[in-house]
Amino acid sequence: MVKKSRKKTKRTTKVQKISSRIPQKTLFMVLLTLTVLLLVANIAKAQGLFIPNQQKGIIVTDNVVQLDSMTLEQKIAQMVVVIGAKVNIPMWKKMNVGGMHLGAHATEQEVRDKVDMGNEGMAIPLFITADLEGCVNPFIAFRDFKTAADAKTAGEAYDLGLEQGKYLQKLGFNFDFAPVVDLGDEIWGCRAFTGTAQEVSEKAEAYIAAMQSQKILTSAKHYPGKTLVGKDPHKFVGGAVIDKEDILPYEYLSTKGNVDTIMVSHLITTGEVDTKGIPSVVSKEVLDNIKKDFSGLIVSDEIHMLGLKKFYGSVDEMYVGVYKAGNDIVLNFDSDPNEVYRMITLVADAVRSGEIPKEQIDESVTKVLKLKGFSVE
Amino acid sequence: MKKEKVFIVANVGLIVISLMLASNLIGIEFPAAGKAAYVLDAEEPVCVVQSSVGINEVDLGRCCLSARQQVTCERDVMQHEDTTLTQSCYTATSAKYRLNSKAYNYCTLQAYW
Repeated sequence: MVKKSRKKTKRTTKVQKISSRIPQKTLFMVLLTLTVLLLVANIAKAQGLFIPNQQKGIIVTDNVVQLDSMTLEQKIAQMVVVIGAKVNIPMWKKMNVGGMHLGAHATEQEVRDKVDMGNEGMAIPLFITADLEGCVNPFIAFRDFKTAADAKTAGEAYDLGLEQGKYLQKLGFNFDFAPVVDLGDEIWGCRAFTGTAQEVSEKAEAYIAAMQSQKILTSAKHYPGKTLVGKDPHKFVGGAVIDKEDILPYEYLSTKGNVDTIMVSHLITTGEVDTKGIPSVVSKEVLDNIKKDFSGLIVSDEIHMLGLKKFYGSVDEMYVGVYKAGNDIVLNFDSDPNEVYRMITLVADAVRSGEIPKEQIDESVTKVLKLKGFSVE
Repeated sequence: MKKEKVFIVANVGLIVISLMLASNLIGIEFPAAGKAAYVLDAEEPVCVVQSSVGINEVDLGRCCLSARQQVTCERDVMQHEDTTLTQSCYTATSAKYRLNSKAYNYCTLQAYW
């Protein structure tokens, strides 16, 4: 009993000592103020208030964009396509990103609302992109289409492209990440056109022509191929051996000259396209080789897919690596606009330090703006 | 004295909250419960696409991104070979992404989720 009482007295003395050293009431007020300030700052951050308004200062006259009027950050932002969660749209617009990708929705109205919201008041309009390809149909809840595998001839592929193109245009889209020209879809069985490499190429050509007749941009994907074949799904960085046949559709569509963009995958490949142990999308050698015969744009596959993330030690290295390799459009579907803006500033720093040539960024943003229908001076 | 004790407890609480808010503000992330669930789960992550052509496994990176772009993700248990797939992500029933808990927990940790 006496022991307990002594312990209590000891504890009380300790508390008294602390109390006497720091006036607890004053400290409470200081901490409370600090907490409230930090809370406000966090809310401001979540609302994107720390992201500068990048819509200002760009000179666009008679459909001509003055490249010199754009800051480095504005140029890099034009090269990014983000994911269009409704809550983030005002921040994407503020950042002046190049495009906004929309996934599946339950109703047509939801899609229209987002498209309208995205395009309202933009001097440089957004690419509004979708993955309507093969049997991947983000509108399936309210609109069905035949699949790529159903198109038995180039004529049928044209009809499919026309139907899908008309619908995309009606909804307000201007860019479809399609067609898939990987050979032999072993996973979905319907995402890519079927047949020999030559047949796939001809069907893709017809599909692209139909899409373009509806003013929908297209992307042949996923270079250099083999992304739809069974592989060890537990493997973090995928690998494949590329045959001549795999790259024939890209060569065909590049020389025919009608595909707007080529999307490059994260696969590490050997064979006809040897990426020398690094993911295709960050291999400057691979991208430069594509550019030899292709004057369109190179689009990265989504950068947060783990094949690429696992290759780099940090996301910062990955951000710089993707731009450095020469991608003209980078798909970054991060749901946090602050993080996307951080990527933009990191890449801008890499350009300022000389790690990425400024001319390369200028060339890419010029291509992006021209694809949007602008002239660039 | 009792009042002083209350202030001390409140102040300690406020210091903890302030530290967490400050960390969030400068972008330091704390390991989440989801991460713990992912790390502690000894199973291999498995994701399959169930469509008219059958059930086929997809690599985890593409699976997570595709699953995220669907309208609904819900608990829907199905046995596939030696693993139990617990989550199903889909827009229409014609094609579903089915994931086991390890894969689903991994997906929810991704930046785009």
